[in-house]
Amino acid sequence: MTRQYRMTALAGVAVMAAGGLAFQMAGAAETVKAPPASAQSAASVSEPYAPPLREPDENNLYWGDLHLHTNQSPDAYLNGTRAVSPDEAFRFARGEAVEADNGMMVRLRRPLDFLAVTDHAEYLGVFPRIDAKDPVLDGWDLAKEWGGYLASSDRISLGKAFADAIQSSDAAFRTPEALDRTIWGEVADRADANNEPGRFTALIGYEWTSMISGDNLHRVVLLRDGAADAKKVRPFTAQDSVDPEDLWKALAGYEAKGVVALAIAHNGNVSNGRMFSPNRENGQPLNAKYAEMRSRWEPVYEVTQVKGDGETHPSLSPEDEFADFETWDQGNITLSARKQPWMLEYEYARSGLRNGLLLERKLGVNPFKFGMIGSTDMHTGLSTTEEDNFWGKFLESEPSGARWKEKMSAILQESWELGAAGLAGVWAPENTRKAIFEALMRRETYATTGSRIRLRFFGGWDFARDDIDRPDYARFGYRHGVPMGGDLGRTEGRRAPSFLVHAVRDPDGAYLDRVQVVKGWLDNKGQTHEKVYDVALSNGRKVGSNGKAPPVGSTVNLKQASFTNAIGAPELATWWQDPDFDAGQPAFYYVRVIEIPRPRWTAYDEKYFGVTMPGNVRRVVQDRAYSSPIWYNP
Amino acid sequence: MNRRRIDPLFQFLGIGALLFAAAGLVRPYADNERTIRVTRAELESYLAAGGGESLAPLARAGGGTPTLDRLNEEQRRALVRSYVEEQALYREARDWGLEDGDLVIRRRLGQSIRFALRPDVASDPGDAVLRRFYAAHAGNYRRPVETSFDHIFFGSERRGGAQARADAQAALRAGVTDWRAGGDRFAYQRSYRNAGPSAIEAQLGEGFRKALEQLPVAPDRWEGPVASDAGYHLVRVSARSAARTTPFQDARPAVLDDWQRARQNAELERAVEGVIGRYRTAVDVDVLPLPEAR
Repeated sequence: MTRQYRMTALAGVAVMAAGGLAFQMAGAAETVKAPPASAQSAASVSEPYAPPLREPDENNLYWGDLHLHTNQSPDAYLNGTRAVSPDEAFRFARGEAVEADNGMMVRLRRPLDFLAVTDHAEYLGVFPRIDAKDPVLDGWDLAKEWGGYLASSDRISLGKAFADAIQSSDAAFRTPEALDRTIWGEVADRADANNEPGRFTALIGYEWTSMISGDNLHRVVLLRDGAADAKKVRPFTAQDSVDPEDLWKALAGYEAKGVVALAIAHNGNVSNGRMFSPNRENGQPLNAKYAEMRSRWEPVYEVTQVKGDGETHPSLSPEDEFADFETWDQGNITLSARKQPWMLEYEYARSGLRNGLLLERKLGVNPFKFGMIGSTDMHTGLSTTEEDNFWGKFLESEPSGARWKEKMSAILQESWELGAAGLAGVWAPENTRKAIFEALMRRETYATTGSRIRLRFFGGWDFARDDIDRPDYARFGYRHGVPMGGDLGRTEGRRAPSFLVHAVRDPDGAYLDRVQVVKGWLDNKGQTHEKVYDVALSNGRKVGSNGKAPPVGSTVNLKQASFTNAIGAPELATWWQDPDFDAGQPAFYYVRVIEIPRPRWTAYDEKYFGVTMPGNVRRVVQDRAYSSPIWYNP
Repeated sequence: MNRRRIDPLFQFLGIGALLFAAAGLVRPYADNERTIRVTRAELESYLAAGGGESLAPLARAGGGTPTLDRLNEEQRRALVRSYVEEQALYREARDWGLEDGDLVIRRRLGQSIRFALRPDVASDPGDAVLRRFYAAHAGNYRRPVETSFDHIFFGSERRGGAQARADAQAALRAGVTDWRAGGDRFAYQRSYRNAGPSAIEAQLGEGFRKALEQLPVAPDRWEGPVASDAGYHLVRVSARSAARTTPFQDARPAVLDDWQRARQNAELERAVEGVIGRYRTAVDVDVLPLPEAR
């Protein structure tokens, strides 16, 4: 017998969480004006990237989450995240124990090195203040009205009022400017208070929550510097515009005030074909200006997170036996429209990178030249990505025996579909805001689906087979090639590019199954292609005549929710040269590292809570890492 | 499938004001127990809360508040049927007293009311109170020893254990010039900055961490070999900060937060005791030697 017990405090906000946050097109069809002259010219993006030598000259690896919500986000608050504020979120990320909103104490096995708290810009910080009867809200009629609904438990009126408000461009529905500045200032000050250069980086940011007819176009906006800078600007909201081009214009406006920012898009998988669309939101085909702005302002893409993985889709990569990973392909983010097969090509990172090559040929600039990061998008203030320490997306998916079937926001996907993902790995000379931000700008970053797989990746023209065995191969890689996120530049008649790859397992996690290079390229007829190469296999396996390596096997014991590192390898390092290189064809190369199978969080739940889930629930996972690509352009 | 909704119990318990969201959800008993009244408002909030399964997204097409206007007659019929069935089974189960015997329901409701009873504590009691709290919980504000060091690695797997050690000693005797070019490729960091004991242990093992703590801080001098789980290392320690307690002023925001939590928990426990106090407890004599009555 299955039963569903729903905490009504959560169910009540279904309208806000799903329907209400569906921002409608507001003036998106108006002509897009040219960005101000102050917007940095994107001419530099198509030039070969030559990394400067840095001190220390091998760079260090830092782990963090660039996308996390707390009680300052309306949907988080109304879904039950009440006590976990940005301060708790920072303390938790730094390794301290905090109390989750379900009353349990929680802490990370290992702290993070950096965190961006990125609450929704729309009604940022408003709901906790309504509940607390904060006098800063005095004089704002909308808050008074909502406060009345809250006090009289009139959920339906609140839901309707909220839905009306966020779909409106009417100034009466905006957070008043003075209040918005006060709240934003506090957001920035809290990050400053938690930022400790050299030990822990707290980035200032917010999320711009654009959804067009329920199709996700969300972007996280991050600032490079501190609160003094942040207070010179205001968060750009979906009430200002739902068109990403307007967001980029706003970021150019920040720059004119000396405030440096970038944007990171996520969840193309619930964008219903909009994330990497060949068309602008006004329906016109992408143009060079769009391509320049997008590559200028969005250096990296959040390829994996709690709402599914976005590397590729099985129907886009039918030859890739690892393509079906934490797939979310039912519909858009509000599930108001089902997925159609044509949409997939415009939703996933790999096909986006491929189409980027094609668009670059047409436009002269590649609009989809992005590196990879992972982050969580948790709405609990708790950045957790470990299978055996996973704290869900909202209060309803915080640990309990029944959480697996609780629907997200009470009406969306069942929670067993949530992934314990993801993390951002950043190669930087030091753990400071500036160093982390600059690494994002040069795309020297990678994504993991939750575990701390260590990954280095260099491309060059002159690497020899044994260069990977150098103790200082990283220094050698910087001097004689480019790191992940870089451009190879032209061949000048030399042979095929070669690569140094070094992957090391999470010291607390699973051994590695294999290391792969994913190549995408554009042929002379204007067709794009992809191929996955197994470049390092554990346990002495070889690629067979069918082009496939035998599977690594499995040590997973579902009953005990356990596995052992009796298979796989703790470390895989290799030199690899592209055997199919054609100097006339633009290409990109990125690395995918696959762990051996281990129990998924659902299997740990079955064991811990003594429950049994239906057969369709995923119980085994092979976590993975995706490097930023290295591009080649003839 | 047997679905239950727990809201009426909340109303019964009189905490609707706290659980503002609960109240609108279901009001099935407005008229009488044996009548299941189906109104437009009820059905729409039922859909909004996730009832009606596949009908909910249909009623919300375009992404707004669900409305019956989007459902045709046949769909409405199915919706009413599922709503009525759920209500009827729920009420029947309640009449049979099934929820009383269900541990999961009892616990879930208990958890929910604890959540609802939790007081908001937002005040700042001032430095005097916080300093006392800080002193009483000093252990929570301690930072572990942190070390900054570089190391040159000689791998046992590649060289063999004894040879790795000998090679490290020889390298030390010969003098280190370009340290990055020495030894073997290492899996993790070669330069650590402000690394705490757990990070060092995870990557180099407990033995290395302990030995490292004994090495002097000498930014220009290589020491070793030091054994790790993977081989031997020459080590250069550039800085070490002793374990210490964060000064009160730096820790104040965390102390305030902890104090508020502690206070909140104490008040919650008091509230729970208050609820318990509203009941008389009669314990049979064969359970406890001294029956307690409250």
